[in-house]
Amino acid sequence: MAPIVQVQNVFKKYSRNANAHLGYGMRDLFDHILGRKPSLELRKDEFFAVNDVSFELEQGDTLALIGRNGSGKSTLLKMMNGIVKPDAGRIVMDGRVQALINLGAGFNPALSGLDNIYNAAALHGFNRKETKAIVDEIVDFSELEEFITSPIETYSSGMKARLGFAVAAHLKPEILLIDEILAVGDYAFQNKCFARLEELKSQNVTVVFVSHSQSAVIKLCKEAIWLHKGRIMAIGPSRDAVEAYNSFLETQEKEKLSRQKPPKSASATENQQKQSLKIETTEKSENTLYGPIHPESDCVEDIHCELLVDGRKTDVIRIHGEVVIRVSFRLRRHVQHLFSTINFFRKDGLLIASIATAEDDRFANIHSGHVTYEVRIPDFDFCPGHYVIVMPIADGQHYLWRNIVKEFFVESGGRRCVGIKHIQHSYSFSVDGENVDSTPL
Amino acid sequence: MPRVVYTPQSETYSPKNVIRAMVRGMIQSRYMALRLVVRDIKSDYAKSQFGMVWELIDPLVLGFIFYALKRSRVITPGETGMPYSIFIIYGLLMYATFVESVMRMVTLVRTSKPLLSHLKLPPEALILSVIFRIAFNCFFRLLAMLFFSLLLCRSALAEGLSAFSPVGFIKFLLLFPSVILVGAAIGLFFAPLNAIYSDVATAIRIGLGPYRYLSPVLWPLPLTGAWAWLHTTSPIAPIFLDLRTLATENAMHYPAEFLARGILFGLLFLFSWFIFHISLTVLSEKA
Repeated sequence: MAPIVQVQNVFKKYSRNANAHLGYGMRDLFDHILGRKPSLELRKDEFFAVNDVSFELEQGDTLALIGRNGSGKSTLLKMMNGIVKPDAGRIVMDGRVQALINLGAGFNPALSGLDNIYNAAALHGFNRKETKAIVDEIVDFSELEEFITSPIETYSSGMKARLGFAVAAHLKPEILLIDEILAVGDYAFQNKCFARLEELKSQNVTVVFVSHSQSAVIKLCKEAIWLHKGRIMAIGPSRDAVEAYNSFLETQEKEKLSRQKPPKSASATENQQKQSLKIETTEKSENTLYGPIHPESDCVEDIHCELLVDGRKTDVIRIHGEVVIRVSFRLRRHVQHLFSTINFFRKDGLLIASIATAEDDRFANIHSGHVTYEVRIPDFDFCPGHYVIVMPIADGQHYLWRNIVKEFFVESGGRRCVGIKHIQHSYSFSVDGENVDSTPL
Repeated sequence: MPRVVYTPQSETYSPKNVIRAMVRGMIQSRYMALRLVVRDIKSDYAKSQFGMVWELIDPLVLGFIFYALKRSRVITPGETGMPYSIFIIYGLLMYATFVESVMRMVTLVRTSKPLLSHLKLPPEALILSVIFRIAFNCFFRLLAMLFFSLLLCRSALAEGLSAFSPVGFIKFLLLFPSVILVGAAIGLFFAPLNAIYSDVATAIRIGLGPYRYLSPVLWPLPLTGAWAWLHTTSPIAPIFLDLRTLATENAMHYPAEFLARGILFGLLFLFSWFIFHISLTVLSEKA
């Protein structure tokens, strides 16, 4: 089958500070008007946003572009839609292209939803008659019948995005370019969007999908390209590309962690340790992603939290490994009802789990002194990623202290993990009543 | 199935293909341009009770001031050949059209940037949308001109002057787009530069303010010395003078100059359109 999309050795360069180099724009414009080929030589402050990218897609193919912010995914998508010109290479699009780069593109807040449907469809090349034929379908899909005559400035951002997706997804494309726009609206609508994309896939529409949602990438796309600083780092089945990307992220996170906290020498003084804790903690009492922070206390001091794997201190835990959390602190005065909790937060602020001494009043008989305790977790099953431990110490009524005590990273060890936790499990199944296999995973 | 090839180079070396694409774009993007205009007009006047009336008030108030100054002999604008009030109303409304044409075209890439960074739009849709918008605004200006011509028709006759000629006014309507053409050609010529340096539009806007007083807008220019040079080089002077006399007396005094400007600015418009067509993608990146 002949390819429907051909991207051949495409380069695109941008200036980090375009406003400081208006002359570049002028020179580029004159070169373009005179029909000169743009130079690939980088001028001051320039960098390659897309660097020698090539791939081909056939009709019905689904390709995801993954990578960190600024890796060139959106620029590549814009070049495929003709919004941005390549500086070198060639892009052939052999079909009607529909791009979902910004769901609200062309919307005017002062106009009604209905007016905006007609406008957006017109901007995508549809005439009045063609739009009229699909307008009911669009309104129905957006679930905005009740508000369709109201100005969209009265819509919530989710409603606007729903309308935008509904318009764009009904314009009968042959090649659909989607740029990270499906994280909109409520879950029910997100599911509806995915169902619509699956429907388009089944109609042999070629899809190029940019997303940070790895589950969406794996679910929607057969193939994926991982871009880093404009270059292709991996290309192949979406699961493999996502895995390669994840292991790269893991390495980067580990490097970042080791840079943040250089290992202390065995002879480090107590003062140095205190200084190190001070860096980790927030200076003032404030609300954060991880809840309220109470860093100063006249009751608790010398707080330490360590992660031990095989008896060694570490900041990196392998999924399903055994971990010991060792906590110590000193009570400077008498405390009536002592509680201490270990809260595990994902770096983005999601509380994953909590281990609290309050559950069984374990510290009921501790009122003062230097407290040390260890918590053993035989199977640490958090999915790979960056986590923090927030530890409150309380006296039964108030926080005595509450702050971040540890940052750590969970590595996959080559496992495929999606979601928050990876559950140890085994299969047993039968065919026609006969046991076939029983495999622990 | 439409096949599109994107390469770094422009289509400068295949002008025939570009011209074909320009014509095709102009035909195919009429509806798109219309929707863009409807969208802009509706949103501009969405929360206004008087809408377009405000656009007319500005030149009419200025006209009234100059009329009052002339009546009280603070200024002596010279022989106009028609009632002075008609002279300045036509002059100011035509100048407003000229300025609007220049400014809307010159800022076209920048004002369209929010659309161009997310959608692939044919350049012709943008150009057409500006022309449609100017035409819409002109409709009200022309109505105002007709209204004042008819209102002052009798009093003018009593003074031995003419304020309205039915046949002449039809010719005036047919030739009025030349004002838009001159403005649009100048604006479109500078649009690529303004996409990169926003100073271009600022300088033009500042320049067009005093240029009103160096053109036959509020008074007829003397045709001697430096004024004669100004008249000869002005892109709008013969057009303004002839359009006025057409509407009021059904007469043209500078047909050759009028035609020359029509051809010159027609060619400038085509050239600017060609440049705009081949460079819009680059311009939208740089704007």
